Amino acid sequence: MSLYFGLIMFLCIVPTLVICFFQMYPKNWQEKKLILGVKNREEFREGEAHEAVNKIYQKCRRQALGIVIVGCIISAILLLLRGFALQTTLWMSFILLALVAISIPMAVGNRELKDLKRRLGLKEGAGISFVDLSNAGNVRALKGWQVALPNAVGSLFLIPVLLEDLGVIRLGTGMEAGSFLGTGVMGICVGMGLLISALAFLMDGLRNEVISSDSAVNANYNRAKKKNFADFFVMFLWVNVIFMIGLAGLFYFRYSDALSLITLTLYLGLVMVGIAVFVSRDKRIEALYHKDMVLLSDDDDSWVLGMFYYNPKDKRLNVEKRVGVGGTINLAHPMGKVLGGLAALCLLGSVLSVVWICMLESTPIRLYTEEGRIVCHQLRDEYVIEYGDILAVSFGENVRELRMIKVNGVGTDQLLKGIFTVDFEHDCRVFLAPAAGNYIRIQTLEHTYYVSGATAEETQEAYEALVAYGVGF
Amino acid sequence: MVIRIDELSDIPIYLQIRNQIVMGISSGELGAGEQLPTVRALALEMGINTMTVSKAYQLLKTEGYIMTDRKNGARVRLEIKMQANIPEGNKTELRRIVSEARISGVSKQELLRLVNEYYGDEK
Repeated sequence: MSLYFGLIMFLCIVPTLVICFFQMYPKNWQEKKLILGVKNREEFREGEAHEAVNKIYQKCRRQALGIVIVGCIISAILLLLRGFALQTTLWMSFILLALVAISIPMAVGNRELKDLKRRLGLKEGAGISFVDLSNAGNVRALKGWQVALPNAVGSLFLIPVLLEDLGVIRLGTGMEAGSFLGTGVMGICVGMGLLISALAFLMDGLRNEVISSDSAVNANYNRAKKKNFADFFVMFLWVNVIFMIGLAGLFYFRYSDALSLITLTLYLGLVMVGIAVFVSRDKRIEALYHKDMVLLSDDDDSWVLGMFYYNPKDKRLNVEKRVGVGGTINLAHPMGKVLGGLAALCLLGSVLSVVWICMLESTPIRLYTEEGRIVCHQLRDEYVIEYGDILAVSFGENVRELRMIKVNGVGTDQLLKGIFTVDFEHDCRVFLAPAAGNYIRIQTLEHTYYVSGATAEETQEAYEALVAYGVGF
Repeated sequence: MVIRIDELSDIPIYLQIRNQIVMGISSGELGAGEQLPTVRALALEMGINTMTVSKAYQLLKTEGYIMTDRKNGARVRLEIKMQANIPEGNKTELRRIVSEARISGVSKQELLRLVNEYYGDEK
């Protein structure tokens, strides 16, 4: 399973790094609209300025290529790792570091190019923007039904899973009704579909770029770009539906972690193919219209490091990205500040959650008896069961024989903790280290507990203490 | 028709919009009865406040260049009233331009050539 998880991460991060490299550092900068997040001006393509720009650009490109190669090597090494916590921690940290690292040469190059512009006194176009009256608000490529249809189809597959979880219907033997795992996962997919739809409309409503004084050229250019965006998002929505159908099949007939991971891999694979097609079409559009790009407006100074848009004079919230493809937010906009803060919090949250998972896995659980009660303890979690509440106690030799479905809590190779459905019994409190092998089942008035110590001996010792007290026998 | 907005200019943005639409009408780039974008769409495209665009449209309407109604939005007037005289404000502006050109050594012929180019080639 850990090799499989590693493979999924590898298949995601390596193509992402390669796509990022070719998108951020294309071979022929002379033919591109932007260089390292700075507008590619006519002056950059002649005389001494050309030499200086080329030197800066090639240096950054070489550095980025080095980062990609090192990134691929590290990804291959990470494939050899075992252990969920270590894998998750290192992959998460690596992904964040890799995405930051590949942007560093760009940020440095962006600063150097802006310095060069200042030294050369290139100010033409600063503060200038163009608007095409004929196309303002007219160019759209996304139709409402294109988005509504996949969302509706996807939602159809959520309903039976929800009804089964509620116990209204019985469809198959894939999942235990009442665990709400199926409803939760399918609900996330439906939410994902709605999020993609919102993004699709946001990108379709982006300001039309004015590249030429000919309105027809501007209209065609923007329509082509928006059509590419629309196709990508619609494709993404249908891939989401296919994923939901796959998951629904698993939930109805035969659920297993391995099969759900295979479905997830297919989903990610299709998304990666979609991204590659989108990027390639975007490049083709840019190349096709390159000769028509005659109007020069320069808002380089509003792009911090060429990546973050901050322009208090611009009232728009979303703008097209300069680096890569897609859109970004204006961090000077009040809503942009809120969204930027939320994104930073999410990033911090994901780092902290990985640290927390790592702590959970590296801290052994403890099981002991004291003063008429049995205590399960790890970090901040504790189950205390008074002897007086115990109705029955039994000892199990092999924890792997239990059929467990997590409802809430932690479920990794090293730790099972929280609320689980165990052998079709709902709402069981689980506190197990699978490595210990054995376990104690404790039945109280309110709940059923499945507990173990970090080792088989610790579990055995706690069980013997219960036997000695004659609890639950 | 493409209009150019200079954020760093001393001329307010609503006046820049107004001036360029007037130039567009004069050059024929904006034909009689041609639909103009809605206030909201134009403000969104420019990344400016809707009030700024509204002010420009209001001015154009007052001056008789465009007509607006709730149903059809803003359109270039089918017939613009020809007063055949230059307003005092524009005369002063023209005088300033001619004076500055003379001081900086621009010949009368060159100035007239420009006037001919801007006036004569239009329409």
